[in-house]
Amino acid sequence: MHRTWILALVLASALAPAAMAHEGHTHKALGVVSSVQGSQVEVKTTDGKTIKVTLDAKTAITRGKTTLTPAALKVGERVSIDYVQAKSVNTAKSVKLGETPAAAPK
Amino acid sequence: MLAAVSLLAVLAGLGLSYVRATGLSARATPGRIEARLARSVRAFAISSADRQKPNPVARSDEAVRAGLEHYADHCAVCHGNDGSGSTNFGRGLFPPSPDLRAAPTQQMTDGEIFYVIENGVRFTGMPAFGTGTAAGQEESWKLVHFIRHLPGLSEAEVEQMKGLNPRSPVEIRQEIEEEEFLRGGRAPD
Repeated sequence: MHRTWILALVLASALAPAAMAHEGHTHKALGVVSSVQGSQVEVKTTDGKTIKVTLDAKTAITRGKTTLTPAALKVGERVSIDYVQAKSVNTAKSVKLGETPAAAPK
Repeated sequence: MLAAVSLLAVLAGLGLSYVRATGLSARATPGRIEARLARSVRAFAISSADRQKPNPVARSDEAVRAGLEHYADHCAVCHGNDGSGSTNFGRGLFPPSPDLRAAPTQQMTDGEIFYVIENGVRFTGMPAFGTGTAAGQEESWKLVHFIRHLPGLSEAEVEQMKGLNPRSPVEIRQEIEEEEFLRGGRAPD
């Protein structure tokens, strides 16, 4: 019985950091913006997938060292997005835009 | 004898109640009395000689800079680059990482801060970083200078520190790939 408790404590200690690291773990996606609808942005990633991310008031949008507003996000922009996933919603913590703005659609 | 046994039984009962009530979870925030008591015990544990030790490293831009680099590499993971303690690890500890910019830390003497860096604090997440070498102690004293500098830390310094925080080889590779991609280069494989 005593051994079981010690084992449980050791396991709990070992698993605690992993559990904590998982919560709020930041994912990264590189890709090109394929659609923007309000705060919803769809990105075609470099590995061929499509992900949807939501921008919120805390999302930092930058191009180089310049801070931008969500209005700067246009279809065709190269982006690097750091996002967290919770309840199947990807919320962007930061969006870095490519050095060169996307060309305006003709 | 009976009184002593009774006292021990009461203390043991209180201890067990504390364990059951808290589940020994690190999620809780220490109460004001608990925090004050812990600080008093820590202050009591540091000898007067240690408390009154002056910083033997003269304050200079170089000393603060060395402290900044050391802090970004060793301390920021829990305390945050800005010293706020607002990090995943810092918030999850019991007690949580203190805000180093705030009075309870800034009012400590240089000797007390040095002592904590070198010896850590039992029953908290603060490890002992002392190596017992003169070079190690000098680094800790430079850290003391940097901790004093934290309340006036600039945005530029925080940005600088981000480049000094420990990163895994995978993170370094991802950063290089990200930079190349955002410059218009080929997408990573």
